[in-house]
This record gives sequence, structure tokens and C-alpha cells, in this order.
Amino acid sequence: MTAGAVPVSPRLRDPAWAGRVFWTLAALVLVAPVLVATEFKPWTLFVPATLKVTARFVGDFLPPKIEAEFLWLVARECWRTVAIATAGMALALLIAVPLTLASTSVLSISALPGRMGAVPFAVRQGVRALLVILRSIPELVWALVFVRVVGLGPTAGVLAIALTYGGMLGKVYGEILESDERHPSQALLRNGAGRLQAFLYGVLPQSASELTSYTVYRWECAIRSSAVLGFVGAGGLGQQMDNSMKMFQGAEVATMLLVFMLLVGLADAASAWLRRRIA
Amino acid sequence: MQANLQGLAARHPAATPDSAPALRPARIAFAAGEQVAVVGPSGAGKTTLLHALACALKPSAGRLELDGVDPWSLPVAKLQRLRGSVFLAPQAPPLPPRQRVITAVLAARLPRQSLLASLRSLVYPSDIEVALAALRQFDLADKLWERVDRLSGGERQRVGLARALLSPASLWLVDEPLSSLDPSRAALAIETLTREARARGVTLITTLHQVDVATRFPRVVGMRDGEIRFDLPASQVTRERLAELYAQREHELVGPAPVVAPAPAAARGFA
Amino acid sequence: MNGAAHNAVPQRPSRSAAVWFLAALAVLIVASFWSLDLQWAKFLSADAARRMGRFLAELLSPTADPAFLGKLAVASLETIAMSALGTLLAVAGGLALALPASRTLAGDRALWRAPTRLALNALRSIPELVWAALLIIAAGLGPFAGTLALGLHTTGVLGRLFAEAIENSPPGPAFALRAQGVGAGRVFLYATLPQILPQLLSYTLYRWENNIRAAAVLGVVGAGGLGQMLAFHMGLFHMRETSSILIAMILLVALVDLASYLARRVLQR
Repeated sequence: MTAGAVPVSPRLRDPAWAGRVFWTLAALVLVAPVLVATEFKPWTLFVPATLKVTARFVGDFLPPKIEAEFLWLVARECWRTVAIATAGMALALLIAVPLTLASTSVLSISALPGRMGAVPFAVRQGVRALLVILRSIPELVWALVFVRVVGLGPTAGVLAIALTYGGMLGKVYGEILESDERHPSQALLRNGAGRLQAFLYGVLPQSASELTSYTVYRWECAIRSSAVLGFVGAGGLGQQMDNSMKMFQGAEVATMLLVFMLLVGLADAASAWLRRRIA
Repeated sequence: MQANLQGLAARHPAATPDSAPALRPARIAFAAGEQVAVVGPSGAGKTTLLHALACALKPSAGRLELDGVDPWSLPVAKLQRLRGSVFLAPQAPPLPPRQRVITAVLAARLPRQSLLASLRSLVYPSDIEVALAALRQFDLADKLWERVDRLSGGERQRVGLARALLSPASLWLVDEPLSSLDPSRAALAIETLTREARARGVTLITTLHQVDVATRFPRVVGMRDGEIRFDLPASQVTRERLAELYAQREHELVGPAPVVAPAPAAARGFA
Repeated sequence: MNGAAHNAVPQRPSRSAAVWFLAALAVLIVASFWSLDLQWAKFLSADAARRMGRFLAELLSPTADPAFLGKLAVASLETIAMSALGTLLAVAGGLALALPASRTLAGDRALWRAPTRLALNALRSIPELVWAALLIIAAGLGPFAGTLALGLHTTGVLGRLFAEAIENSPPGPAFALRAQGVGAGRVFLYATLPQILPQLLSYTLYRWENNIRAAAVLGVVGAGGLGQMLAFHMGLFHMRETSSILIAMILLVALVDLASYLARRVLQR
């Protein structure tokens, strides 16, 4: 086989060229309305009037406010943020665990002979739909609802986290259980054990570490979101930050941002450490 | 390009300072336009020698001269410029998957291309004819627009070699060019490399596992354990010398007929 | 672990670590409930139950007023636009910061690596909503502040992921070009980028899915999109409108998930 014997000489034009031009044009056509819809006008940031407000606010960041009284307040709000997350997670577990047990097919007694019965099947699908509804509404929206019902304060935050995270935990717990080996629990159920017994002796031992690990990770996420929930009035660091921003208190905002980053960093490290220990 | 190693020693970048150097102090010179094959069992330091010549490894002792200049004494910008006139083809062809063959081949031109031109070439390939001509030499003309990850191991290796024809270098350092090629393709590849090097006056140094192919080069260097054991015209490279070079490693000594390279390298090819 | 239970084992394995963990957890939970002045009485009162009941009843009857649906469509498009442009800005920012934040050569001193990584961590650790609240001061109310907020937070996330992708890419192709004396920027374009491109795209799509969820609620602090409508109508107790907005949010998220799933399928070819 020599060089001259090549039957087809490929065209000397890039075959991908037309496609590239088309996709570039398509992207440009798509980007234009996006820029309009988002009112993307970076130059408004540099209008003198705006710039003055920004400069004053950001200039106030340094030095951050470190009066003892204020730091004490921030520390208290920090704890409240962690407490809202923890209490919310505790309630989320109360929601998620029963719903998971009800929804997972691993613990189905009627499915033992082969197919699941019609009524249990409908119940399971119903519980799953409930979990979907719980988690598809963002926690911030739940918080807005509960702030209207019980007023400003941590109660709304705890309830919001409980509902959304209950839905998330329920779904992922279900997936973890379903992905595990079914023989142990089925053997127990066949021998006449109850669902809860089969769960404790057949399912939990093999998936306990994975379940705990995911719960710890979600607790870390809950701390972030409990800080955010404060912005709609659900208590904690976020609410304090919102107040300071509305008063243009740059120094206070700077302190709280730093503390918040520290808190997130700590929660991150704690959760990583715990998950390593569990694994 | 001339190259001159004066007591040059080198070790792997990852090696600890007290470990034995992969290349012991070597004294050897290559004249401009010369064609040299380097043979020896694996672990002999052949690849290290090529990397040291390519200024990819800083010598741990001794001195390297390319065209009479010590590259490591140059300022960074000049060193980069000098590196542009050396082409190193590693054994595993360094082609990013999902890149197209045309782009991979044209990448060899980057050292002498302006930033703007190389950006433009990403949008629409420049010098398509030149790339096509280089690929045709290696019987790959029909793969011009193909994606690299859709080629076989042997085709990838030949694309890696075709790169040399586009590089602005005057010193080609080719590491095991035949490791995943079948015999007829291997013959074509070696013939193309030597012919093109001669036509361009390029110095060609290639490491080889196939001693039978190596003895077709005018000059053969035998290496073992990081040392140069012989440096002879091909006519004086006898069976006895090779047997001595490969003592206890005879399985790596590929027989008289041009055969496919040793199993581990070949296994990657022809999938 | 549980196999040891059914016959009398000579020595029981120590479980003190687990016991301590559970004890600490219990203390944390009790302290949390105790320290928060939770108003269960109010939540469980007849009044709250009635209000909640009315809320839920009205939530189940979304409005389909054409004029309102028109506004809803505009806000939905605005939300999609915010998430898309925010992600796009983050890709540009993340790529620009990922280069100094990665060490590509073993011997590279990479002076900028630590400071850039610190900056990326800072961007990432502040949630989108907090960024939005901050940026409203500079950019004013509206979707622009929300887009920038998404862009900043996502830059932190993507920058870190991109930097890791760059550091973990096979070094061969980059080495060959560097040995030829090619500069760092072009080595990246011709050797590293083609290798990591699928990974970058997949990270980007994943963050886009995330950003549509964030963009939907950013408006609560006044940063445009569906969230702004939601906060407005909920504030006035327009529960039927609220219900329609929630349905739009859920549909939007599902739509983007589908689009991203299809894009992934195409990219895997």
C-alpha cells in the first residue's frame, strides 16, 4: 500500500465548518433576547450616582465591626442558624423515616410471592408523590408560607427545612434501600418477621453508613439554607444580615459575611470528618 | 542541528535525588543531518536520553550543547525558541481524544505561529493541504477530518509521526515509532521518516526495539542500565554485540524478520 | 457487627465512638429545640390551622386568568434567561480563574494557586441569595442583580471543578507541546482543553440545573424572575396566583432537567 493508492481524497474544506457557523449564529440569536430579558446592562453599575452608593457601602466594609456587644449578637445568631438547621433536620427525619419505610418496596409483604398487591402499590405511589411535592417546593417558599402563618421567627425556618429536607431525605433514603441486597430482608419477611423487624435486622445493617453519611451531608446543606431563610424573616444570621444591608451598615455586613464563611467552612470540615469516620 | 552531550547525566523528574540516575554521565555527539538508531532493553535510559536532548529534562550533571549553545544557560524566552527547533515524538502518541486529526497534526506548527494565527486555526484549520500531504505520507489521508479517539492505536501512532513533518524542527527525536504498527506500516513509517529527514537536512535520532530495523540506520547506539555500551556504524553491529547488550533480556531482542513490537505495547494497537 | 449478637461472644467489640456520637447528637438536638423560641402553640392553634387550611384550599385552585398567565410566562422566561446567562458568565469566570488555580506541571511553583483558590472558595461559600441581596445595592432591583449573583456564586463552584479537571487531565499531550516550546496558553487550547471539554460541559449543565432552582427564588429579595412575583402575591395573600406561580416553578425545573438530560445524551456521542 503506497501513498498514491488512496482511493478517496477528502475534500480540502472543513466538513464541520457549516455546523460551527450554524451553532454560533444560533447561540447569538438566543443570547440577544436573554440579554434583554435579564436587563443585562453592566454599565449601569458605573453610573456616578450608583457608584457613589456602592463605594460608600463597600468602603464601609473595612474595618469590619468588631465591638464585643455586636460580636456577641453575631455569635448568638450563628448558634440560632445552626439550631434551626439541626431542629429542622430532626423534624425532617421524623417525616422522612416513616415515609421511606412506607414507600420502599424492599419491605413489601404483599410483594413476597411475586407481584405487589394493588392497594399497597397505590399507597406506595401516593407516598412517593407526597415526597415529590414536599421537595419540589423550595424551602424558601415554604418559609414564606409559614412566616405568614406563624409570624416572623425561627419556627418558620424550622418548618421549612423540615418539609423540604423531609422530601429529599425520603427520596434518597428510598433509593439507597432499593439499591441494596434484598435477600436478607426478604428472608426475614418470609419467616414472618414484621416490617420494622425486617428493616432493623435485614436492611439497616448494610445501609446504615450510607444513610448516616447522606444525612450528615444534608445537615451541612441545611446550615447554608437556614442562613438564607433568614432573608425572608425566618430568624438566624440571614435575618440579621438582611437588616444590616437595609440599613447600609457595611461594617456589620462584612463581619457577618466573614463569620458566615467561617461557619460554612466549619460545617463543611465537620461533615467531611464525620463522613470519613463513618465510611 | 548538531547535538553534543558532555558528561551529561539525568534522572526522572519524579525520582528522589539519591536514586541512581536514569542516564549516567554520557559523552556522545550527533552531527547535523545524521540518522541514528538507539537500541537496548527497556529501562536502558533510551527515553531519558531523548528527553534530555529535547530540553525536557534538566541535566543533573554535565552539559548539553545544541548547535554549540548550552540551552540551560539561555534566558527562558530563548530556551523556548530553541525548543521550537526540536521535535520530540513520545512513544504514546500525545493526541488529545476528541480533537480532530487535522488539529492534532497542525499543533506541530505552533512553535513558529503567532498566537492570533493559532487561535484562527482553531476556528478554521489553516494549511489543510500541508497537513493532508503529511498524512498521505503515512497512508492516513482519509483520516484528515476524523476524531483522534476514533482511530486505532496504530493510526494514532502514525498521526503522531506525521506531526514531525509539520514541525519547524531541525532535530527529530522519535521514541519507539513502531511499537503499535504492523510490519508493512512500520516499514513505510521508517522509510518516510528517514527520507524526509534526509531531504530537509534534519538530524533524526530514534529509539527502536526492532534491532533489525535499527541496523538499517547508518549509526547505531546501544544502551543498557543508563550507559552507552556501544556506538558503531551499522555494519559493525554484530549478533554477538546485540546478544551481549540484551543478555538475560533476550525476549526483548526481536528476531531477524521485521515483526510487531513486544506484546505489551502491541496490545494497545489494533483494537 | 450484628452477626456477633446471636451467640454469647467472649468479648463485645467496643462501640464507644458510636455511643459518643449519638450522645453528642442528642445534646445538639435538645439544645437546638430548647434555645429556639419555637411557637408551637401558635403553629398548632385553631387560628393557624384555619389559616393554613384556607391557604392549602386556595393553593389547590390555581388561577388561569389569561392576563395573569401572560405575566407568568414573561417571568418564567426571565427566570430561564437569568439562569442561563448566570451560568454562562460563570463558565467564563470559572475558566479564567481555573487556569491560575491549577498546577499543571510537577515542578510548577504556581504562585497564584493558593490565592485564587481562596477567592474561589469565598465566591462559593456565599449563597446566591446573599449575593443577590448584596448586589441589589449596586445594581438595583431586577433580574440583572439576580443574574450577577448566580454568576458570582457559580463562578466559585465551577472554577474549583474546572481547576480539578485541568489538574487531573492526562499530561502527555501538554508535555509534547511544551517540549516544543509552545506557550502555556496555547498548550491549554491545543492539548488540555480538548481533553477536558466533555467534563466541563457536564459540570456546566449540572450547575445550570441548580441555577434554575436558585433563579426561581432569588426574586424573593427583589432580584427578578418568578420569585419576585411570588413574594408580591404571597405578601398580598393572593393564594390562587401563588399557586399558579408554584406550578410554573415546578414545570420550569422539570423542563430544564429534561433539556439538560437531552444535552448530555447528545454530548456523550
